[in-house]
Amino acid sequence: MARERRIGRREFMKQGAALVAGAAFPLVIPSAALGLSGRPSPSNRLTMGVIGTGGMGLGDMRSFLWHDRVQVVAVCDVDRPHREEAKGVVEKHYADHAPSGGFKGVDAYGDFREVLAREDLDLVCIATPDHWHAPIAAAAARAGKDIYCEKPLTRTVAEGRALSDLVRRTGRVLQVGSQQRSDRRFRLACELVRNGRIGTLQTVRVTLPAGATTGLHPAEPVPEGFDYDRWLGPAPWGPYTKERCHYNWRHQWDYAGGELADWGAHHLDIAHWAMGLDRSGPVEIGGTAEWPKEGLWDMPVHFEVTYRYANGVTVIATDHRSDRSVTFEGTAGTVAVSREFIRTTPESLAKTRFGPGEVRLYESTWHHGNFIDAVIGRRDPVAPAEVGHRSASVCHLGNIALRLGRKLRWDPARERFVNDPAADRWLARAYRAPWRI
Amino acid sequence: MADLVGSRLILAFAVLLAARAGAGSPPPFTDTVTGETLAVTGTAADVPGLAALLADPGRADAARRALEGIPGREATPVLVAAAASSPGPGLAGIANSLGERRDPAAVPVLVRLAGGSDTLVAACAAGSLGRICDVSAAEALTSLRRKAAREVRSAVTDACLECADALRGRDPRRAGKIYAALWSRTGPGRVRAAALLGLAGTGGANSFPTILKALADPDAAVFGAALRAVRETPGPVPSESMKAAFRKLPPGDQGLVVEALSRRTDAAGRGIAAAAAGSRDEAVALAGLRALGRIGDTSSILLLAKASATLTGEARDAARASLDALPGPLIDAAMIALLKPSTAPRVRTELIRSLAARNALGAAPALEAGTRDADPGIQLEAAKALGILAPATGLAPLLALVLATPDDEVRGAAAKSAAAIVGGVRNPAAAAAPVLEALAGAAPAARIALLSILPAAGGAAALAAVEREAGNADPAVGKAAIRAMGDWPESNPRAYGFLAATADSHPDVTRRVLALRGAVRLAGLPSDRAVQDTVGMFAFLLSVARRPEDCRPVLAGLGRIADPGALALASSKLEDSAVRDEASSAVLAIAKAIKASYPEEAAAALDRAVRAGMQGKPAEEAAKLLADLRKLIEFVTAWEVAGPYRAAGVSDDALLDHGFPPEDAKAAVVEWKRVQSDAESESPWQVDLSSVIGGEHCAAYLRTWLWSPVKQKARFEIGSDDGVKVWLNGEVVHANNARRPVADGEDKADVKLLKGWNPVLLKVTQGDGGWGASLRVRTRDGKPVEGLKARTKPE
Repeated sequence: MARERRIGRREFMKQGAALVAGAAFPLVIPSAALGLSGRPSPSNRLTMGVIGTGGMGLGDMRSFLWHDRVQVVAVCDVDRPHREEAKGVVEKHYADHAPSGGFKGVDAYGDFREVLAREDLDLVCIATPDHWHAPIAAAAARAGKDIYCEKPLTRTVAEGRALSDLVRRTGRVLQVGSQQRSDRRFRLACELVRNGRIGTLQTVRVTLPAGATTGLHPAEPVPEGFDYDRWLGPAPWGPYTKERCHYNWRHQWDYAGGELADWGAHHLDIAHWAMGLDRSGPVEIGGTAEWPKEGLWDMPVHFEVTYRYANGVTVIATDHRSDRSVTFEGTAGTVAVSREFIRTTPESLAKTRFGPGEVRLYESTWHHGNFIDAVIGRRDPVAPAEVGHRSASVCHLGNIALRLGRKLRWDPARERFVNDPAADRWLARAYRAPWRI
Repeated sequence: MADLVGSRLILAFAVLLAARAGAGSPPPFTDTVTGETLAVTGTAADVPGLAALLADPGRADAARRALEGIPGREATPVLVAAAASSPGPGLAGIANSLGERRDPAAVPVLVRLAGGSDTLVAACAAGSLGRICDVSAAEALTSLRRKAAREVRSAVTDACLECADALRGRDPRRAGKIYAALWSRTGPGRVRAAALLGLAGTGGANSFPTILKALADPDAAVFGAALRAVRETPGPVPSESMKAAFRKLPPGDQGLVVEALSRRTDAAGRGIAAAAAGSRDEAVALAGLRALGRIGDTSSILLLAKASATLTGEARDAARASLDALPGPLIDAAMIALLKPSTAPRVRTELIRSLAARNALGAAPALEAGTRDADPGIQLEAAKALGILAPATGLAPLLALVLATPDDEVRGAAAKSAAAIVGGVRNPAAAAAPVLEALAGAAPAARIALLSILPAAGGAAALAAVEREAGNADPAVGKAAIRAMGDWPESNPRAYGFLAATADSHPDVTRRVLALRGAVRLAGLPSDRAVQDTVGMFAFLLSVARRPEDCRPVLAGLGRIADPGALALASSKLEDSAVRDEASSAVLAIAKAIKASYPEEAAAALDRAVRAGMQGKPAEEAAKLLADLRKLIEFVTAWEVAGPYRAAGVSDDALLDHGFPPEDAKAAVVEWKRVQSDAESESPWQVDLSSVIGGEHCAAYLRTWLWSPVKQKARFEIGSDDGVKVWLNGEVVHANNARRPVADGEDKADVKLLKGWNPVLLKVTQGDGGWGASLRVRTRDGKPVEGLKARTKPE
């Protein structure tokens, strides 16, 4: 029965492709759509919509364009120039790789809901500003799409809990864009720690970029083609200025978590991975920060956040002028790792050979490819939703401690502060209507 | 509104309005920020004021969000009441907030809204019922699912799933009923998939019949959920039913199921995986082989070893990886037990390879026995494995193999592994003894192999033996000895001397070349000797390099010596067209390395290289470097440093005028150290005392000698962090007890230079933070001083 139905779907798609006159159109078969049944054979492609096509979205999209199991069929951005640029990139890529040298098979949207409503779509890549990650990812999961979502996965702890539960409940695959998990150096560093090669882990030092400041900016006219209200989406309303929007959103609490979340989502994620606590969290958080004295951007410029974990390990996240690394200090050695290097003490640790009885971590060498493998095999990718939620949470907890200016105790199982209802209120933020997660 | 007087709402309004003054934004922004503040700080006392704002269309959404976050029961009735009057999107927001508050008191109004005609509001209300998820909400959703409008049905279904998810812990029977209802319906695959996962989660092992049925489901989402359920559902898997279901699947799906079974913490899929490994379908076989690496046991060893021995490509790689990863404490012993003559040699070879990959130290005796096997393939693999595991006991059998085997490949592997063992012991030199013993009576081929082991050992005895063998009548042995000496582990003077002499005077050109290359390597190794001596060694080697091809490795080695003497030596070959490129590369490399300390020499050499015909990318790099150097040359970079100096009771401010030994000509010996400037620094002309010596609340001294071709007036341009005092020819010419970062030329002092050498002394004080200084000498009208040079000592 299944085979017959698959043939039926293939025929349907061939007809569909034939409708695209004059276009070189690869055989594109959505896996769970079209109102028919069947699953993609290995020769078929998974269809993807890219939501958020600024710098990061274009980067992700280019990587997926090179994946021979993926066909990008939709791009979406609230900023028209962004989505038109993305559309052009897709068309040029497929045209360059088509015998006819032409391609017209990608649609551009300004509203992500139209993308998610497409039944011929299997996957979405979400690379919007942070405040949109969770609402779009949740809507995508409910629409039956598998999701590649940029980090940090969420804006609040509550969003993360809801999204992770939803992804589990719906059986979707979600990969967070924590691509350091697909970097051999970071994996090796974590395996060295997990297998006790530096003795008992005592301290993890994480260095991140410093924050930034700007002035008070008067309201500006919203640029033509920019759907500003949708850009704000669930976030509180504020007058338009370019200092608020593209790229700059990361420095503002309404949309993001500053550098502690922007880079912390990478490096604190690695710290969690190495400790085997990537589905848990710290038990105590405290720190100090230097805040902007005035201006639109309201995240710490300089900061030091200290996390204590139940295993006795202390993780210290500080800003640094140039260093972006994670250093694990144990009783018998150290491992320092970044995107440029891995350094060990003693040096010989870098050439460690692991035996079959030792802890080996999930091996992924291509983050985007690992997502597709997970989609096909219906298994967890290397950075699944729960891990992304916990890695984002530790950033949010740091920011809450800095904002409240006091030490906080955290229950990672209940995901609530310990006897601290005032702090608990910072775990969620109400959305503007009508958005919800 | 009277209730609002004095409340934080008003206060926040006032503060925010003041902050926003002149920005030209409309009122809602202020209200928005106020709402955000009250969402985390508001109390029941703020509820009436916020309730009033709900009626104001411009402020309702901000007020609603503030109410959403206020704990206690007070806010819910306000939101419920507002639900009766709010329109469109505002009502959707109220529905959402009631859900986020998770207050069961909101269920009746949400039920009403979920059944209303506004589909957006109805969908939000349904979602909120799912979030509240008490019994009444669950019942309401069940009812709604039957009658919801098409546009809302999806939201109701999602809410049912969320509700069931929440009920799993406290009312699993009710949750199971919801899942079962959604599973049995003819609905979207994604809903049935979620329902299946819910059933598996609540039913555990009892749900396997449903899961197996779902494996055959034609819908991709359902199949995917079934795979997850296979992977994650706890409890015993009904093996026969699973096998039957597995057999009916198409090959592509079989591979996925095998993979899913292999991810279970039990070994339920072992039998299926083993069967799959033998499948004619390549993808299924591959999945089976990979799965066994996770869930295989001792019974999988032979299967995987045979597959490793007989398959090719990806399948062989998978089989080997799985053999290497087989889990459990019994695997190594079982593999060793299979290393018996009755096991096929190719399979034994794979087992040996894997034992090494598994770091199975207990396999050493069996591997040592393998070196004595009649099969050369097994000898080879055993020799390699011993090199990886490197047990000390492995040396003797490996040396015996070197002496006995007629096979060049086996002998080479045995020697390489023996070297790994010798180099890995605590006292390598002592480990040379058995190698030297074996050397005594070895045939030429074995002799050559044994000589290759000795550099790993090092030591006088081994070196003497190598030197002796260099004179062996067999030319091949003699050359092997020269190679071994060139591979010596440290820059041994005796080894270098022997090689240099051989390179200079041996009648055989091959030996001369081998010796020259070895000597270059040894001359370039780290050593305690003065760098001038190293340059001298290279000068000699360059002199004995008779042909251009001999010169090239010498110049390559010379390029790694960061010294002006090396630079001069490399420059001497710039006009030799046969080696100009190599000389240019060496000049460029050395100039980069010494640019901060010897900028004039570096610039001169680069200039000469460019004029000599340097081309291509090196020429571009040289041009850029020259531009940097021209700036650098204007500053004094030849410094010696002494310090840090501290004195009890002397404050930071008093340090500048407190005399320390470098100021006293009669003082006891002052230890001066050459300052190695940071070539990678953005300002290499500045001395970064924090890096060079470090310290806080102290002072340091920098000294240099300036050579002036004539007696002349000049100007010192000084930067310092913190205070600075300058002596020229023993006289104080400038002092500034400042606290500041370094800014080049911030202080200026007019001075008179004598003809010849002029000693200059800088004192730089340090409070805390950064610490450093810079000095540039210019004419009084700000031009470079012709002919001026700076040296750490008069020449």
